[in-house]
Parts: sequence; C-alpha cells; structure tokens
Amino acid sequence: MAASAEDRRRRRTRTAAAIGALVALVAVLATVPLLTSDYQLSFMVNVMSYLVLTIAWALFSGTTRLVSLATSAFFGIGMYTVAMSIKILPLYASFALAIVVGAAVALVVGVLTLRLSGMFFVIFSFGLSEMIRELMVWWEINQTHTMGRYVYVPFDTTMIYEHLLGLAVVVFLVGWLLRRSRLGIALLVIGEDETVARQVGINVPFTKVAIFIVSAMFMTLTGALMAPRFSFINPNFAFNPLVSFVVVIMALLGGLQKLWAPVLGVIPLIILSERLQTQFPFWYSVLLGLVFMVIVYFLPRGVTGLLEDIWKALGRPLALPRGFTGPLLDAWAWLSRPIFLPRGLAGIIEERWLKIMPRANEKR
Amino acid sequence: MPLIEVILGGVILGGLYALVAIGFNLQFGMARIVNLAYGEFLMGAAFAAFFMYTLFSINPIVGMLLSVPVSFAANWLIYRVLMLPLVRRARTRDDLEGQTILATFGLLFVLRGAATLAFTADNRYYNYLGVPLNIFGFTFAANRVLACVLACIFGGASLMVLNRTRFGTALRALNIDPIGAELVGIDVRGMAGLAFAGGGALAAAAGTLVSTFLTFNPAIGIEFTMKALVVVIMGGIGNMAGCLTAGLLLGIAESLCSYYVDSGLTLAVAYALFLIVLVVRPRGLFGTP
Amino acid sequence: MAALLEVENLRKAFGGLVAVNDLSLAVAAGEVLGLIGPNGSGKTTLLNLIAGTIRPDAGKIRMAGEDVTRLANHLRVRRRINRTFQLVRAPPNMPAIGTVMAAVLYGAGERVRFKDAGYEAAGWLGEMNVLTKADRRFDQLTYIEQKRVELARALATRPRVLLLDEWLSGLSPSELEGGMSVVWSLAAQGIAVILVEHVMTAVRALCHRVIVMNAGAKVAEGRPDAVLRDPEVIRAYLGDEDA
Repeated sequence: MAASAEDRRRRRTRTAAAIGALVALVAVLATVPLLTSDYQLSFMVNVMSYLVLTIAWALFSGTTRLVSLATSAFFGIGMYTVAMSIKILPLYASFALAIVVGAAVALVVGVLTLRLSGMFFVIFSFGLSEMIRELMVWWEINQTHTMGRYVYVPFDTTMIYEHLLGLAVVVFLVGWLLRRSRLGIALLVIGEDETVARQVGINVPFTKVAIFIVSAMFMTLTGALMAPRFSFINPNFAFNPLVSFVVVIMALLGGLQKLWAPVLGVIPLIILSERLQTQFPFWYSVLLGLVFMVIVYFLPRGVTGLLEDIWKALGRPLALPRGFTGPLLDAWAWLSRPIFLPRGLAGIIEERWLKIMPRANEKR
Repeated sequence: MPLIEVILGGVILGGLYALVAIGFNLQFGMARIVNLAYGEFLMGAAFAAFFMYTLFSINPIVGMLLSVPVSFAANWLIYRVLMLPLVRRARTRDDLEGQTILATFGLLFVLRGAATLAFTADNRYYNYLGVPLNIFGFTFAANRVLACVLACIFGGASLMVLNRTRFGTALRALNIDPIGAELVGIDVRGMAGLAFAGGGALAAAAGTLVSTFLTFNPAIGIEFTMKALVVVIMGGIGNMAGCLTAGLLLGIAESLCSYYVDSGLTLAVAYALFLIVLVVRPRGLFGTP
Repeated sequence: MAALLEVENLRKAFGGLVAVNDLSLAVAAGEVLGLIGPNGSGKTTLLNLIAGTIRPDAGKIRMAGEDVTRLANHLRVRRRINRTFQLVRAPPNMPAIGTVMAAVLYGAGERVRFKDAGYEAAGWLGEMNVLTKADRRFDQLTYIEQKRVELARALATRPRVLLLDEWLSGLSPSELEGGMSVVWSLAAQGIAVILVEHVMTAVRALCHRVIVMNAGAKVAEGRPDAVLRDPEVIRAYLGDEDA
C-alpha cells in the first residue's frame, strides 16, 4: 500500500505549513513581554505554567488512563528544591538538580506503585504531595531550623515567561513525537488493555514508569522555573494540593484526544479562577469544586455533546406539557449516558472543522 | 515502661482508624465508590458535636443520635443523586472508580470550602472527659479510651451486621461479584446505596469521637480520607477484619513515631507503612499471592 | 522429533482447587498438539501458565532448551511463545492495524523502524485476509474478523510456539474450513501449535497428537482417533453412567 506521490507531497506541505504556523506563533508569544503590562505578563506566566503542567499530565494520564493526582507534589518538589539550593548553587544548576530530584521521586513512586493495580497508584499519588509537605515541614523545623526560604535571584518575570514558553514548546514536541513513535503506540495499547499489551511483548511496568518520569520531569521543571517569582517560599506554599486538582479540571475541559486541546482548558479556567479569586475570595474553593463537578458530570463528551443536544431539543416538535418530572427524567437519562474519553472544547472545534473542510476527513 | 504505654496509646488510636476505615470500606468495597470526600463528613460531624456541646451543652455521645442519622441520609442522597448517574454510565469497574474519584474530588473542595465559610478555618477544641484514667497502672485520657471503646462497639456492630445477617450477606455478595449478586435477586443499586450511606454514618460516628480528643478545623477531612484509603488497601478492599488489623497497625506505628521521632509526621508514617506492605505483600496483608 | 517446548510436572492451585496437577507435555516444531477435556479441566489455566499470564506453583517450562518458568509474559513473547485469548481480546478503540503494529514493534525481536512497522503489520493482516479492515476499530469487526486480527497480532511477533484457545469455536461451517486451513498452514511453516478446542472435527483433522485433561491432570495422550475411542476419555466427557 505505498502512498501515492501526490498524497505524500500533500502531507509534506501540510506538515510544513503546520510547522511554519507554530514557529510564527511561538515568535509572537516570545515578544509578549515587550508589549504587555505587568499584570498581563503575570497572567501569561500563569497560562504557560499551567499549560506545561496540563500537557505533561496528559502525557501520562491521557494515555495510561490512570488519574494522577501527584502534579502538585512534583511542582512543589521543583519549587522547593530551587528554594533550598539557590544559596549554594548557580541558578541553572539548581534547576537541573530539581529535575534530578523530581525524576528520582517519580522513579521510586512509579516502581513501587505502578507494577500493581492502578488503584494503588491513584491512592498514592493522592497523598504524595501532603506527605512530602509534612516531611519538609518536619525537616525544616527540626533539622535546619528555618521555616521557609528567601529566593532572591536576577531572574525576573520576563525570564520566567520566556523559559516557560520554551518548556511549553519542548513538552509539545515530546507529545507530538510520542504520538508517532514506538513508545506512543505501546502506551495506547496499555491504556486500552494491559493483558494484550503484555502479549504483544510490551514491558508494561517499565513503559508506565518511563512515561511517568518524563511527565514528572516537566512538572518539576515548571515548579523550579516558578520559584524565582516568589521571594519567600515555605513548604505549605510549595505543596498546594489545589494545583493537582486544577490541572485535572483543565485537562478534562480541554479534552484529551488532541495534543493542543489543553490550551482550551487552561485559558478559560485561569480567567475564571482569577475572577473567582478577586470577586468571591471566600467562595473560591466551593465554586471551583462546583465547576469541577459540572465538567465531570455534564461534559463527559465535551462541550460538543452539550451543543448537539441543545440543537436536537430545539428541533424537536412541541410535545404536551410533561409537568415537573419530565425535564428531571431527561436530565437523569442524559447524565447516565456512557462515558468516552472527554473530547472537550477540542472536540467541538474538530467537529466544526470537519464540516467546513470535508477534505480533512479523508486523511486516513 | 514507656514503650508499652506508647503501644497501648497506639492501640487506642488504631481502634479509631479501624472504625474510619470500616466506613470507608463499606463505600469502597461494597458500593464500589472511591469517595475522596469521605473525611469531610467526619469533619462535619466533629463540628456538629462541637457546636452542640459548646452552645447547648449536649453530650457528644448523645449528639451522635442526631449527627449519625443525618450523615446516613446525606450520604444516601449523595449516592442516589450524584453517584448513581456515574454508576449507570460506567462501562467497567475501573471506569467507575476513576469517575467517582474525579466527582468526589470536586465534592471534597465544595464541602471543605463550605465548612470554611460556615465555621472559619480556626482550630477548634472542647474539653470533654479530659480526665486521666488509670488502667492496669497506665494512665490514659478518659476521652481517648471512651472513643476507642465506642469505636470497637460500632465497628463490631458493623461486622456483626455484615457477617451474621441476611442483609450483610447480600452486601458481601456485592463486594465479591456484583453481577452474580444481581442474578440471585439482590437489588444491587439499592443495597449499594445503603452501604454507601452506612459508610457515611460510620464517618459521622468517627468524627464525633475524634472531636472529643483532637483539635480540628475544616481541613482535617482529607487526612482521614488518606489514612482510610491506606488502611483499606493494606487490609484488603471489602475485608473488614483486615481493616481492623491494618487500622491497629497504623495506630501503633503512628504512636511510636510521634513518641520517638515527631508527632507531625503521621501521614508520612501511614504512607511509609503502605509502601512497606506494597513491597512485602503486594496483594495486601491478607491477600493470597 | 526434538521437542521445542517442554513442560515438566507443572502445578497450579487456586486456593483449594488444583487447576493443573503435575502435568507434563512436549511439542515439536511443526506439530499440532490438541488439548481437550471437559469444561473446567484446566486447559485454559495450562495455556495461561505456558504463556506467562500466571505463574506456576511448581514445575518447569523450557522453550528451546531455555528455562522460561520465571520469565514475565512479555519476555516469553520475545522468546517466541504467543497466544490468542478464548474471549477475543484487543484494544477496542484502536484501529485493527494498531495492535498488530505494536506487536511488530515490540514482539518481533529485532528493531523495526516505526515507518516500516505499518507496512509489515499490513502484511500480516493481508496474510489473515483482513487487510481491508485494517483501519476499522476492533469492536466494529465481525467475530471471525476479530479472531483473524487477533491471530495476525500473535503472528506478528513471529512465534515458534502458538497457543490457540478455542480459536475455531463459534465459527460457521464455511468459516471453520477457512480457519482450519489457516492452522494447517501455520504448522506447515514450522510453528508448534497447541490447540485447545471443543470442535472435534477440527481436532480430528488437524492434530497430530491429542492430550486429554480432566480435573487438572492428563488422562490420555496419543493419536486423535485412538484417544477419542479410549473409554476413560469418554467417561471423562460424558460421566460414568452414560459410558
């Protein structure tokens, strides 16, 4: 089944166009610090850091389908390693140290828990951040007698932003390559059926641990890069469980099927989260929890499903009034539909895109 | 003789952990729902006991007559309204576990946030039976001993219901084989709802007991959920006797650690224990290899 | 013939139930060995033990002289032992070719370039006559197509010992004929096939040798026509009073 020459040429042009567009986009994003105010820049730093975290999360959880709640642990490890080592090491060396520490922790956690049932891993990841925070507090109080660290380095918000942008490009490339590689296929098979994965000769635990480490390294480096943003860091600040939680929401909202989908989850949620924090500071946790539940319950198929249903409901002929119970029953039936991998906002866009460009439909 | 005293203190704490874990196991093992918001009901009951005691001077043990049924009803409602749609749409058990983790993770933040709004994030404490009690020459706080005794009674009662009654047999069938249970005429979803509610009731009982001897605030829930998870995994999902043993083990380990190392490391102890068990016996303390 | 795969005194118990009891067998390259017996006699457990899905309590498994008893499942795949599953298994949401590609990339031993893996996988699907379905999701295929895709997945790892768990069951007469010729051609290529099967016409036609299992133990072994006349075998299948 050799692809025809024309086919190949078309694919090559498309790839070239995509790369060109991406380079242009990155170039535009790189100039952001020159054009924006401090507030806007700090918003962009937030977006970039969560973007890296969410894509890194999806690298592992989107393929193996194990919900990892350990993001905040690795983010915190990165941040606190830099905070602890910044006085002794040059800046970049302490970033490197952070990556090594993060990878080592991921290795230990992965080897111990990923060999076993997925449940063990999820439970462990749930408590990891709290446990490390507790250990660090104990260590700082009893051994070093310092509660918290000052981070004063010549690494301003612009530098942080540019580094995060670079990291985002790298994590994006890793994800892109992963989808076209041996390892990527292995992860897909593992995610769907581990028994079959073993039967095609895949070393299942090794593969899972490997991708877990890769994902953890990105999370750790994000935390490390963010450290100079805050002049004072203590363990309670670095290991904030909210980070794990927000990353999962963002990934679910954006969708997991497309690599770029997290962008669609990160931006609206950061805007929403900032709004909530400034306007309802006390209600923040409650409202964020509610947003999360709404996404889990009402967007199992992404926003696409919602729009389709509304469209269908509008097109339906008028029926006799069904009283109170009618809509309730509908909502119930609707909530109880089967789950697929969340398609998120990316799903909608793809749908529309296919409507506009029927050509793209034939690519496979 | 401090060692024995430390270990006995651990046993007293362990009895409470066992109760917390038995409730969690009812929800996880029988109803197949990983309820990350479990500890929030414990926290809620602690606050209920606190306010009943300080505002109306109602004895916390009597107060349980109110908080336990309320928590039972609330959990039953949560199962019917929030969990059942997930149960219906989940295709496999793993799928269900993953979905419930996400949903209850959201619920956790809602409940904790609401509690912080209502009760503020302050640490609370009230003095109930804070008198020393002498048992076999060792001195313990009376409220701790009472908590342990009541935890044993509640835990024992749950075990009796599970092992000696028709209802309990049906619940255990749910744990072993939900499809088989349905085939022999057990109303699986109804029973699972009751198991879930029962778990919530035990959380409320445990919360009341915790409030009698520990300082608490709206953020304590998650720590108890984590410990319950660890105990349940160590003891075996759906295995109540395993829960009891693992709970005692955790209590003793924690007590030893806080005596010899530091009292701030309770969660680290729990996870260290968890890791040791994973390495030595990957299928839990009582699992067949 | 020198044995390719040897199983010695294999034993596996689940709690009190002894599923495989002190069983030995050997199979040579190009041989089709039938494994028959009533339901629950331990045939599938035996296959699971040989494939490495579960570990035995006692006994030895040797592949081409090498002891593989303690090797993990995926390592046995690389030692050229593969299997199909009784209830056909493959990742449901992947295109059929995806699993076969994974098998080419991971199971075949030598390093295959990612670009070439697709072509090679297509070749295996073509060999099984399901190339036209290569881009379908697995759960959209018919039963026989699923079985063929699964076999393509197993073959893509270049097995020397192939374990087929009721691969011919549930097929229509014409499909059965096609399926039998597939098995026959595998043996002709020098693959040692162990066939767990209830379809007796297939067992009679294909197997060089048959082992009958009952309650985890071997009760008879020999040429199919001779074994199937054995009174003990008939008793095992039909019970005492009917014999």
